[in-house]
Amino acid sequence: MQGLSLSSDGTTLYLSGEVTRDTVPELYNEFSTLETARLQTIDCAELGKTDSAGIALIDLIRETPGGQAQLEGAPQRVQRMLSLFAAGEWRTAREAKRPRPLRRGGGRFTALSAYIRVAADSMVWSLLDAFRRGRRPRGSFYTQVVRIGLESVGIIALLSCIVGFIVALQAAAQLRLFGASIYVVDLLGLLIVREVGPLLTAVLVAGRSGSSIASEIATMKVSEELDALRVMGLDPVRYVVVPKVLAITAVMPVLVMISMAVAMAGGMSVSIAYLDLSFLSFAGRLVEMISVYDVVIGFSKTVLFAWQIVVIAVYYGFEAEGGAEGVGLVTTKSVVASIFWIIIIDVFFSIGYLW
Amino acid sequence: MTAATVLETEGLQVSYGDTVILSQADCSVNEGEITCIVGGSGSGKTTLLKSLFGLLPVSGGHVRLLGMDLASLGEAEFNRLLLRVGVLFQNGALLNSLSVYENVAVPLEQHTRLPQDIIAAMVAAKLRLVNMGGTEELYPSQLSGGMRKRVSLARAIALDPEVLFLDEPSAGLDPENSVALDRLMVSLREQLAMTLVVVTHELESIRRIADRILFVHAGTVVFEGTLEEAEAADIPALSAFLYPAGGGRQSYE
Repeated sequence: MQGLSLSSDGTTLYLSGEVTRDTVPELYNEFSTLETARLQTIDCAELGKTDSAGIALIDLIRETPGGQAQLEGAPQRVQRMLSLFAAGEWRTAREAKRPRPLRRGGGRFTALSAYIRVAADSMVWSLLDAFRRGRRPRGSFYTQVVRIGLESVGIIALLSCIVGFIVALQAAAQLRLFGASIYVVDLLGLLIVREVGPLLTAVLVAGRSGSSIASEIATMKVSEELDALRVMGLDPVRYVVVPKVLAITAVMPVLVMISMAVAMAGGMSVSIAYLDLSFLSFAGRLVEMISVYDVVIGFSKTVLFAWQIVVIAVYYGFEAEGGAEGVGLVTTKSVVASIFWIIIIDVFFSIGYLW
Repeated sequence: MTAATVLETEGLQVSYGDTVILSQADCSVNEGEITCIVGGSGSGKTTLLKSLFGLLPVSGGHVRLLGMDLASLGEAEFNRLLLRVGVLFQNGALLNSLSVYENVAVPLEQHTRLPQDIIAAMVAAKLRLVNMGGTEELYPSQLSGGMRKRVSLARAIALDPEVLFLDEPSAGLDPENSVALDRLMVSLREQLAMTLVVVTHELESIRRIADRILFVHAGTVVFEGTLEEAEAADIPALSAFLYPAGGGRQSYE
C-alpha cells in the first residue's frame, strides 16, 4: 500500500510506500485536499523507497499551516537524507522561471548531409511541437517573438521607408519626363510587394537575428552547454531550435507586412509631394495594380526565407569549434550564407512570376 | 563482500579523426565507491570520462553502464539511461541565459511531473547542499568559476543520479571550498549510496576521497586499484604522479 492518510482527529498523517519523483505528484495532490490545520505528527514507519523529491514533500508537509509537525518512525535512510539536504528553508526558492536549446554534432557527416539533418530535425520537431509544449522551455516562444520580431520592427520600418522613398524618387524623375507619373504607383506596388518588402526584411533579419541565433548556439556548443543538455536527456534541437523556428515563422510575415506598408508610405510621400498625385488616386491605383497572386507569392517566399535563415544559423552554430574565434567565424559564415541563399531563392521566385 | 560493478569498459578505443586518444582501455567502477581517474595533463582522462557515459563516440571496444552496453542502445533507451547519471563538466556548462534556479530546475521540469512547489524545494535543497543557497536569482555571468561549478554540481544531482561523473570538480576552487567539495562527495557516497567517478589530478583531493583509482597514461589505463595498491605498485609513471617531488611514499609523509 502506498499513499497518504490522516488520522480521524487530524493530528497524524500516515505516509507509506514509495515516495519518489514518480509518486510525489499524486501524493502532493492528495495532500492538498486534506485538512491539515491540526497536524502534529507525520508517521513514516511504513515509508518505502524515497528520493529527494520525497524528502521535499515530507518537508513541505512538515511546514503546514499548523506549524512544524514532528517526524515519527522515519527510517534512518530518510533521516540521513533530511539532514544531508539541511531541511529548513525549503520555500526560499521562488516561483519557477523558465529555461532555453541542441543535438549530436555533425561529426563525420559531410557538410551537406549535416545541413540536411539539421534542417530536417528542426523542421520536423517544429511541426510536431507547434501545437504542444513539447520539450521547449516555457515562455521561450514569446521571448523569441520579441527578440526576432518586436525588436526588429524599428530598423525594418525605417529602412523600408527610406528605400520606398528612394525608389519612388528615382522612378518619378524618369516617368515624369514622359507624362506617365501615375505609373510610379505601378512600379512601387509591384516592386515593394514582390521584392523590396520580403527581400529587405529577410536580409535585415538574417543580419540581425540570424547572426544572433548562430552566435548563441555556437557559444552554447563551445561552452559545453549543448553537451550538458544532451546528458540531461534533452534534445538540443527541440530545446533550443524549435522555439526559434516557430517564432520566426510567426513573425516574418508580420514584419514583411510592416515593411511593405511603410515602404509604400515612403513612396507615396514622394508621389504626393513631387508628382502632385492625390492620396486617393495613389491608393486607388495601388489597389487596382496589386493582385492577390502577388501578395500570396510575396508572403510564401517570406516563410521560406525565414526557415532558411534559422536553419543556416543553427547549422553553423552546431559546427562551431574552439573558443571565441570559432564563434565569430561561424557567425560571419552564417550571415553570408543566409543572405546568399535568400537572393538565390528570390531569383527562382522572380522567374516564377513570369509564368 | 564484493561490490557490484556499475561501469566497465573492454578494449575501449576513442579517436579524434585519425588521432587515437584512448586505446585498449579496460577499467571498472564499483557501486557505492568513489573512483578517481587520475593521470597527467593530456593523458586522456577527460576523454575516458566522456566516453564512459556516451558523450564521445567510441571507435572500438565496449562500455557497459548500469548493466547496459552503450553501443547497443537506441536513442530513447540511451536518453532514459542518462536520467540515471549526473555529469559535472569541467567548466560547469551552465546555461548562460538561465538563472541559477532555472539551471538546476531544468532536469526536474523536463523529466518529471513534479509540482512547482516541490521543484522549488528540491532546487533550494540541492543549492544549499553545495553551499549556494540564496543565489537562485543570479545568472551564471554573475558567479565566480568556483560558484558556477557548485551550481553545476547541484544540477547534476537534481535527479538523484545513481552514478555521478565529475570532471575536475575542484579545479578553480580555493582550498577551503575544495575540501568542502570533497566532503560533499564523500557525503553523497555515504548518505545517498551514490557512485562517483571523478577526474582529478589533485593529489590531496585523491587522498581524501578515492576508494579506488584508475591511472591513465599515454591513452590507456595502466593501473586500477586502491590508493595503497597504487603506492605499492612498481609503475614509474604512477610513482612520478603520486610523488612528483620524488623520493616515494616516505618523502610524501
